[in-house]
Amino acid sequence: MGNFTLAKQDFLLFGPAILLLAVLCYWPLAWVALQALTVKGELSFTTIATVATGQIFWVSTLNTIYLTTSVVLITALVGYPLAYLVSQASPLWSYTLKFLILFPFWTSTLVRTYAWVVILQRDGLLVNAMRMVVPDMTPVSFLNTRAASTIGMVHIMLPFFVFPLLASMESIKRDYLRAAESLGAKPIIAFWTVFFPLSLPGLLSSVIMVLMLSIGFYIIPIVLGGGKGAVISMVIEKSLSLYPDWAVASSMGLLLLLMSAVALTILNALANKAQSIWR
Amino acid sequence: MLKKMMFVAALSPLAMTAVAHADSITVAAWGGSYQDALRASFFEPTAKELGITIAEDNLSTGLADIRLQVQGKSVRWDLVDISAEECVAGEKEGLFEPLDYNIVKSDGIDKRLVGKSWIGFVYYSVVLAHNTNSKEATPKNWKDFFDTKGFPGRRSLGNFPSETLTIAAMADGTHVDKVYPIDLDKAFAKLEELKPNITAWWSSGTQATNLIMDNEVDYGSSWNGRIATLKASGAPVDWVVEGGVLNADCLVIPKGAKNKDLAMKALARFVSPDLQANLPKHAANGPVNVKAFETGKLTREEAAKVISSPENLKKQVLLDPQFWGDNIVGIQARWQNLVQ
Repeated sequence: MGNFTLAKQDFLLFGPAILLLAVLCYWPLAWVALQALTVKGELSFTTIATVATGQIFWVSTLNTIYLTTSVVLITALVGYPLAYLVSQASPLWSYTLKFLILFPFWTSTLVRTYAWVVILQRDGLLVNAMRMVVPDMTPVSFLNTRAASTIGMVHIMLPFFVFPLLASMESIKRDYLRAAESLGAKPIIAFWTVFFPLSLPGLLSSVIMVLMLSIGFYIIPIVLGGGKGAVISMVIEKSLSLYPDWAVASSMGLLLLLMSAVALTILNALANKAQSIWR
Repeated sequence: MLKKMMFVAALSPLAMTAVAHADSITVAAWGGSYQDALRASFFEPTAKELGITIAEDNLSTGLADIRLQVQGKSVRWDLVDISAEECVAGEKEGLFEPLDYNIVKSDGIDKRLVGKSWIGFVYYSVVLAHNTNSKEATPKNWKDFFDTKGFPGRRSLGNFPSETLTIAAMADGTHVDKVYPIDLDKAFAKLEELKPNITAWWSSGTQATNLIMDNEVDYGSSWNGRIATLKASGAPVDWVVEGGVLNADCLVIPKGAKNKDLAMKALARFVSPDLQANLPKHAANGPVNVKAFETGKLTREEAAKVISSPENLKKQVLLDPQFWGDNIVGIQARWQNLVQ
């Protein structure tokens, strides 16, 4: 990266993208920062300090971290074997599986979320299915819980997890595994000592992807969570209409961005370290 | 070529504003079937009478939309329908044009819903509803609803402090006339007690009714319009008007509105008894002007079904916008802690 230089014509290539980002992302972001850090035109950290020490902010932040972490962990536990299966399958199977993973991706998030309501509610599909096994089961509801939010989000996040990981798994040559086995490693040992370390950079970029997308989730916790365990996005939304200026909501947004940046930096450092195995 | 394109791009915002003629106003409301009802009851008759065009737009978050337009000095709306609480808050912030009560006639409208720069528009109510297939005994009022021994079923309430704390203020049978000013500590304590029996804190009208219709809860609060529609369509739900929390939407002219004089005339028509009397034909919302019931447009039978008929008004409590305008910011943190 260090000896990377730019020719004039390169600007023509990525200029439009930079311009777009500047207008639609950097400029509004600067405005948000301005709202958070000024009072009547003067630089002031009062608002952001009040927000950062407030109970609402920390409770909702902890809720967000809890939800996001469970989503990332469960998505990883489900997604990794799935990506592995696809990467090892015959071309026809691999194609079919990819299609099946992508298929729900083309349905709107809102529709999929309401589908979970139908499945998880008291007289829902899940309970009815369970009744086939235990006919006199007392009706229970899985809806309106944190678990319901987590399930709904894992469903939405799975393709985002599988595809970056798959791209990196597919670039791992099978010869490496064969070489390990010909040197006497059992398949399971070959997997853990050769395949898994090589897939780590892909795994981490998938984790980053899911983490970043999950932090700002709003609709799913609202619809499936029953209003309990408010996440930070809900609190920001409430603050927008509650306070006469944008300072509180902007401060929360800024703090959220800061925490995301810290998480991202740590994960990126880990990913870089994992990447070094390839060199 | 690039220069030419940039020139066109720079012009396009101007092109868009040019559409708004002098004899036209833009009204923003909450969209959907609600806005269809407003159009049929108010917008179309007014447009015809005044010989103007009424363009429509939708709100996304409410007061924040107006704030953004006024502070950004690009006011696109001339007349906006928001909640009465938001009207009180917005007036404090100076976001609206003062109303001219020589043009706008406020007689027949509850004094608590007449501000310097806003006026009540339509009523809806948060009522006690239940699933008729539920095996649990049916609560008849909020006192029953808060009695978890006599009524051990599953419950839901709105994730809105003003409505739900007003309900909690009736937990020990307080008469609707004595609810305000609310004893907030007591109301919070009642909700804290009830919390283990609350399955969900709903945040939309659809969610409120679905919870009850799908038997996710046995009983809960719900907006009267949606639950009445469901009942009429044969769903296993019912509701009571007693103890309903009447809530008003209000009309405002955002500060710096381009056609504020015309908007004032339209607003005067919107709150007039004869157009207010149109509303019950198109929606479950009620007229905010009681004189609508004297116009002869509604028969006695029709009037009895309206949520804000003089008879029904006596059975319900008006959510006092002034009280919440003064208190809402302070209690928001307590509320968040409660619903955690």
